[in-house]
Amino acid sequence: MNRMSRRSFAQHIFAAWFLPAAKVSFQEGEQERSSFPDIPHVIAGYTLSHGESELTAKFMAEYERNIYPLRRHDLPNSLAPSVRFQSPVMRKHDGEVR
Amino acid sequence: MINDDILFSPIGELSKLIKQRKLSPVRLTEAYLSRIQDISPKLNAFVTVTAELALQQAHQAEKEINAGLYRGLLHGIPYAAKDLFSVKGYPTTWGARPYEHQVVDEDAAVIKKLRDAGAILLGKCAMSELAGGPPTATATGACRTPWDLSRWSGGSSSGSGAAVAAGLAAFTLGTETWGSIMTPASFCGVTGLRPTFGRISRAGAMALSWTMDKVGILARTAKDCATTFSVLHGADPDDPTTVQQPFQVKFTKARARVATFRVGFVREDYKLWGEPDVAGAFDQSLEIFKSLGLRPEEVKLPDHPYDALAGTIITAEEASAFEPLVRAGKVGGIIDPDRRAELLGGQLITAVDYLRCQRIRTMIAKDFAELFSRYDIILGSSTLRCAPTIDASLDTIFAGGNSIEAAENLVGLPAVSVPCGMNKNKLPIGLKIIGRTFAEADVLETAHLYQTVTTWHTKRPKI
Repeated sequence: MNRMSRRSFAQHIFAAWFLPAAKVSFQEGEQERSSFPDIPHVIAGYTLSHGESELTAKFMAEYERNIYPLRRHDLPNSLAPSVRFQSPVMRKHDGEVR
Repeated sequence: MINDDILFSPIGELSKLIKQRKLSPVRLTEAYLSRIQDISPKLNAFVTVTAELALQQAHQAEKEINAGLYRGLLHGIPYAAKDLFSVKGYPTTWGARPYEHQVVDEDAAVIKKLRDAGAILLGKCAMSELAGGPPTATATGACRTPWDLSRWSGGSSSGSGAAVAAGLAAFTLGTETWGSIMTPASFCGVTGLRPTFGRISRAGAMALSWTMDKVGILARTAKDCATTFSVLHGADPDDPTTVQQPFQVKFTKARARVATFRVGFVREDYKLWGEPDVAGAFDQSLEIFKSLGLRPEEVKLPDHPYDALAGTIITAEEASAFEPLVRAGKVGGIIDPDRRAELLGGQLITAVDYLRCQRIRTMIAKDFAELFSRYDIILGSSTLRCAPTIDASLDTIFAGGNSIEAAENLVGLPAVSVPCGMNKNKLPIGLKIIGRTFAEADVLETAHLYQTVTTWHTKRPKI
């Protein structure tokens, strides 16, 4: 598949599947929002009612300070995340180690 | 009458007496319970004392042993567990006010394993709220080191360290995500084992960080840690991160085997970040290893932003783990204001940033695999300072340095902390022995060898 056909394929998927799905999801979300608010609303609600917006802002500043130097590193495309939910040694179904 | 010498005995000595029926598990349990009642309130070491369960288990152990059914070295040995392990019928508070009435109706995997081994649960130990925060960030009041009641026992396995040091249990269970076993082991002058990630099942334990949490042991000696670890390690379908790997430790041959180890050490900037006495105790420990025929050489750590990575990963994962608390609007129940901000603000860490951290973590794991191809063990200080006063802030306690601690936990390496000296205020100092993944035998044998030629682990506080 060349670059152009890949883009056409992606546009097709986006138009045919993602947009309608997102639209439905958004509408459902609006209806449900009052009983299950999204996280930014929850955080804003808590920090304002408890007068702790400065604390959260301080945290966000520290997070940015920590993460900013990391963002400057160009990581190779092939570098996969080390998400160790799975064991470093693969197990067979019978529990043996290989 | 059971005297203090018995209550401060290592597991090996207790089990020998129990097996020979010279020591009654019931009398031993009663003695520990009585000491807990007298001393724990001064330390805030226990959250819940499971006296009824303990006596029931003690009577069963005694009955079995008298009938010739001896289950092994932990049969009839009383222990306590950090209050993030669930125990059926008792509260599991996670050290936090929003969970003070929580009861999980199933025993954690480690509690089941110890029950099957015949060990006796005395109670549940105090901990920092949700396994993090400064000394006062706990629902049950700051936990104090028995060496000085105005000072902190460390966290987050606060009560687990204090209980062993004060002779309130033969051993305890703790957990570490980033320093939570090494710190209380150091501040309380006990031996702590943090095993490799995935060695011990976390089923039934509170999750703080799924990719960094590890279950470990606090005890009097490296041998005691090995005895308990041999019962606890292994694959568990209820914790898919666990693996079955062999564990063969041979203490009788430790001297000859450890003498072949290639030893590295990390020298911290003690002048900037630590105490002179901690630096002195570390240098003395290096001399001891040299006298045992080892040739420690200084290691330069690969250059990575360890603290920033560990901090971001843990905060993102804890924000996810405690999202229900945030959504329920109950974050206000958390005592430490900085922690409240973490739980709230952590919700906004982007997936891209989190994955970036995990990708750099891959590079760190690779670099440490290379580092440990050149060394069998690496020595460092468990903490750069001794126990602080209970009003100290986290920024003061862990002001800087000790960057290998974040690295060890990111990579999931095993380590043992052993007492290695006292500072001018008669507070214990900890030495850390770090090994390659799944090499618990290496670090435990090295720690055991150190404890055969030193006596720091035998010192007792006057309470």
